[in-house]
Amino acid sequence: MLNIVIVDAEEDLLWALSKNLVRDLPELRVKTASSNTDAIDALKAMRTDLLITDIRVSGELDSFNIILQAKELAPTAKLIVMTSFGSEDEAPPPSLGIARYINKPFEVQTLRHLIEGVIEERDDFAGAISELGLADILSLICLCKRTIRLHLNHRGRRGRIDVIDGAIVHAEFGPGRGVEAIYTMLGLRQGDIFMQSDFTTVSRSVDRPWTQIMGDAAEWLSTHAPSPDEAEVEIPVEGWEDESFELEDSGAAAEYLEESDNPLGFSAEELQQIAIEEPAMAATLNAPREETLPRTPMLRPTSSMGFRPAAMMKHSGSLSEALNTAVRTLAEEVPGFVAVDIIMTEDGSSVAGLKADDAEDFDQELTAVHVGELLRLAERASAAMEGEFSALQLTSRGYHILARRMGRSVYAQLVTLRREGNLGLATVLMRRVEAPLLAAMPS
Amino acid sequence: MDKREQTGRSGELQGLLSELSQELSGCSSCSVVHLEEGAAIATISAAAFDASTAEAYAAELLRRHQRLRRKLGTVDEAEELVLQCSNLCIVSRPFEGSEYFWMMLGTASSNVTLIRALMRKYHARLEALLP
Repeated sequence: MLNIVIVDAEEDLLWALSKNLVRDLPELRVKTASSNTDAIDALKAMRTDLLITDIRVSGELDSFNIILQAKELAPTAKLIVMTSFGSEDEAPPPSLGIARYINKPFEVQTLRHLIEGVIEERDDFAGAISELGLADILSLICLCKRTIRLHLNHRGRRGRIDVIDGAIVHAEFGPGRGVEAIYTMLGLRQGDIFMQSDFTTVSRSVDRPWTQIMGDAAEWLSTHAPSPDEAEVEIPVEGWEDESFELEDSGAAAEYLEESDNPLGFSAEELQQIAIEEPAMAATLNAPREETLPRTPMLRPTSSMGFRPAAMMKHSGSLSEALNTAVRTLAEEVPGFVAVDIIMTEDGSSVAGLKADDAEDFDQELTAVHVGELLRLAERASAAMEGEFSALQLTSRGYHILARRMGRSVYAQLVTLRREGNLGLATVLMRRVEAPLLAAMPS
Repeated sequence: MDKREQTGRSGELQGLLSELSQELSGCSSCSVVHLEEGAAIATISAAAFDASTAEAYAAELLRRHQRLRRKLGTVDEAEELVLQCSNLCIVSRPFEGSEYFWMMLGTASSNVTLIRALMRKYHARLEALLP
C-alpha cells in the first residue's frame, strides 16, 4: 500500500485525482487537503510515502511551508510538485534535486506514470523529502515567488543566493559571483543552508531566468563538478582596506587598571560595574602577562562580501571615522575580545566589523545573522511587556555575546568576547562608544 | 514518582523560588518554565504582577536561539540569556538536558550582575527539584 497526500486549493481537482488514481492503482491510499491545516493533519495521520502538492500559494494554502514541515512529518516521502507555468513554451525546470515537477494542466496518465516511478522505486525517483537540498529549495523559492536570502556554509566556505520575488538576482560563493557561483553551490553534496527572509541586497550579479539557470546547471556541472576533496578556499576580502594595525602596547585592558588604576577615565559607577560584573577580573589581573594579552585584531570587514558599509562610508567621512573609532576602541580595550560588529537590526547585516586574529573558528557573519534575528524577537518581546528594548546578552560555553540597541536607531552594537573576558568592561565601553556613533549617523 | 512525592517536590520548588526572590530587592517574579510550552510550572510573583508574558517570550527567545544554532551551527548552547528593556530585565538559565529553564525578572534598575550571581548559586538546587 502506497500512502499519498495530495494538496491543492482546487477541490474539484483533488476529487478527480483521488478517484482516478485509486481506480487504476488500487494499491494507493489517497488523502487530499486544500489548506495548510488539512495538509499537516493528513501528514500526521498516516505514514506518507508520497506528497503531491500544488506550488501556488493562495488563501489558506502555503505549499512551501507544507513541504518544509513535511521534512519533519514525512521524512521518507517522495515529492511531486504541481507547477503552473503560463505558456507551453515554458516548462518546469529539470530537477537537480529530489523533487519531480508536473505542469498543470496535465493528463492523469502523466501523474500516474510518476507515481509508478515511486512504486517501482525507479532510480530517477530515489530521493526523499528529508534529503531536500539546495536545488530543491532554490527551485521552490523561485516557484513560490518568494523573497529570501539563502546562506550556504560548506566546510567553512560561505555562499549566498538572493532571490527577490522569485527571481535570482545575486549569488556568491567564495571568490565566485553570478551564475557560476550558483552552479558551484548546486554541485556541493554537503553544507548547511539557512534562509533569511528580511534582508537588503545591494549586489546584482544574475540576470537569467531561474529556469534557465537550472537547465544550464546540469550541463555545467558535468564538466565542472567540484572534487569532494577540494581544498578549502580562503574567502578574499573586498571593498575594504586590508589595513592591519598594531596596538600601541601589548595593551591588555587588565594592565590599564593595573598600571594606572583608571587610564580611560571611568566614572566611579562604571568602575564599580566593571569590578562587580566580572569576578574573573581578579584572576585576570593576577594571571601571567602573556595570558592576558589581548588578541591583536586585524582591521577587516566582517566576512560579508560586497556589503553595504563600503558604499555607506564613501558618503560620509565622519561616519566612517566614527565607525572605525568605535570598533577599534572595543577591539583594543575589551579583554578577551573576539569580534565586534555594528549591525542593522532589521537583517543582522554588518556595517562595520573587526575580528581577532586568533578567532578563525568564530563565524562572525552568521553570528550577526543569528543575533539579528534574536534582536528582532527581543524587540517584539519588549513591546509586548510595554517596554523598549535596550540590550541582549547571550552566554554560551565559550563566549559572551552582547548586543545593544543604539538609541532608537536601526543599528546595534554586537560584541563577542571569550568567557574569561570582562563582561562589565565590555558593557561600559559599549555605552561609551554609542554617543559619538549616533552623532555621526544620518538622522 | 508517586503523586505525594510529586506534590512535595512542587512545594519545595515553590519554597526555593520564594527564598531566592527574597534575596533580591525589586524581584518581580521568579519562575521555572517549560521550554516548549512557555508556561510556568512554578512561579513566585510580586503582588499583582503577571509574569506569563515574560515567561512566554523568554521561552520563545531560548527556543529561537536553539533553532538558529541548529541551522547555522554558530553559537553554542545558551547557558544564560539576559534581556534588558526600559522597564524590566529578564535573566533566563536553561537546565542542561532538560525541557525546563528558569528565569528571574527584575526592574530596569535591578542589578543584573547580582541576579546572575544569585541564579548561579541556586541553579543546582533547583535542578535537583525538577519533575
